[in-house]
Amino acid sequence: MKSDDKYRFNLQFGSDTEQNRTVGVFIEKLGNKKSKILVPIIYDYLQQHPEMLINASKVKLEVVQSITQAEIEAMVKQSIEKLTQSSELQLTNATTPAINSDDVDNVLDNFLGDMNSKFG
Amino acid sequence: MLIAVDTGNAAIKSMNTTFPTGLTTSSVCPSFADDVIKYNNEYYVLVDDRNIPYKYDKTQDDTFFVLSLFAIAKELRLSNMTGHVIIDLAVGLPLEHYEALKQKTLDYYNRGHVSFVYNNEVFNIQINRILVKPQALSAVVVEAQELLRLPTVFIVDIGGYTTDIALLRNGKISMEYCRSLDMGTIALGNSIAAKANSLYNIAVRNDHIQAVLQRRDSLLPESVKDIIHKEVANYAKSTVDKLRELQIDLRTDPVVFLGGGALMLKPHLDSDPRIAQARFITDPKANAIGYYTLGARELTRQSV
Repeated sequence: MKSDDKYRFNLQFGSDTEQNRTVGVFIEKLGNKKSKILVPIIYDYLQQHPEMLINASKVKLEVVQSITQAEIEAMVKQSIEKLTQSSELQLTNATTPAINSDDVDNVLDNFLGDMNSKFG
Repeated sequence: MLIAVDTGNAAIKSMNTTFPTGLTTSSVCPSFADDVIKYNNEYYVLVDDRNIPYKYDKTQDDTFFVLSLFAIAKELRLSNMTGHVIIDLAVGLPLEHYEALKQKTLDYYNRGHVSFVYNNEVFNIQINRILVKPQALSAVVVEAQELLRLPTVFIVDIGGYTTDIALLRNGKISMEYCRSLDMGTIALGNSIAAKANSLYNIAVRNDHIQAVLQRRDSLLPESVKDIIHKEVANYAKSTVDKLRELQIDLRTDPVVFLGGGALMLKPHLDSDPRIAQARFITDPKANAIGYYTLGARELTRQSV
């Protein structure tokens, strides 16, 4: 969803495959730097697959189970190395305020407390 | 393992699955069926079309328990969990029915050890803790970071038979606006089917309606397509009319629409001049995701 000149998304996927688990653990480890890492990764992918940009809603994605964990880890490692060498990333990290995941936790905990007091 | 199930009148949703609230029973094993559960010596088969009459109290018989078992089995299979599994269960209720039905719902699911066979695979589950959450409000979790920080926002969850309404002020629930109205997309579908049948003697199903609304290929004549578009437009208008009757003025406060009906009505709600700022939570599983997220937090708190 785009609002106030920013993009904000909630991403959710199951932990039922090795591929999902590896990617999930990786994204979790990124902490407050998720967008800084994921945007260039997806951008790189789109450069290699420009057909995805033509009509993303009609693209059929197929989960390929044959990819091994080692291959995924190697791809992730390669992407991280490429990104950490990027001076642009280092500069923007220093100047852009990060999303604080503790804030989200607090907001959710307060909401749950309020809900339980009113729908106990 | 925590499993969340949203037992809707139109569809059953869990974190990773959704299927129509349609069930048939048989005393013998059906030969050609994709989704079969054997429970208490009875065979239950999921069907593509919703066929369960509306029930204010879904605990009156085993129908919604069995539908929940389908969702549980599907989730357990996705997690490769078989054999004896201990689960915690998170379910939901309409806002205005919550107080009256919460204990009944807890008792309904409190069956301890449950054995059943799903598609020839034996499941032995132990239902440990049961959590009941208010629907519509739980779905807010999907976009919590934004919605819970707004000064005010109305939540309108348009389901199959009920439309839940709530107001959040700075992330706090305002109880005076919590309502559950007996209106939803099933009545809309029935109205369309009745008109198409009476005027043109054509049987229109829900999947036909969805195809027309989504501009997919459809063999329906243009006259029937017109009926669908007009009825949906009227329904969107009457939804906003009803909200206005309840002193909810969407020209002055933002609103979030969710539920299966929100997607159907979106083009008309988007263009309604009486709505200043509308957002849409388009994932039909939003309530189930909310039950899970809030349930997991609550269980973590309890165990600390």
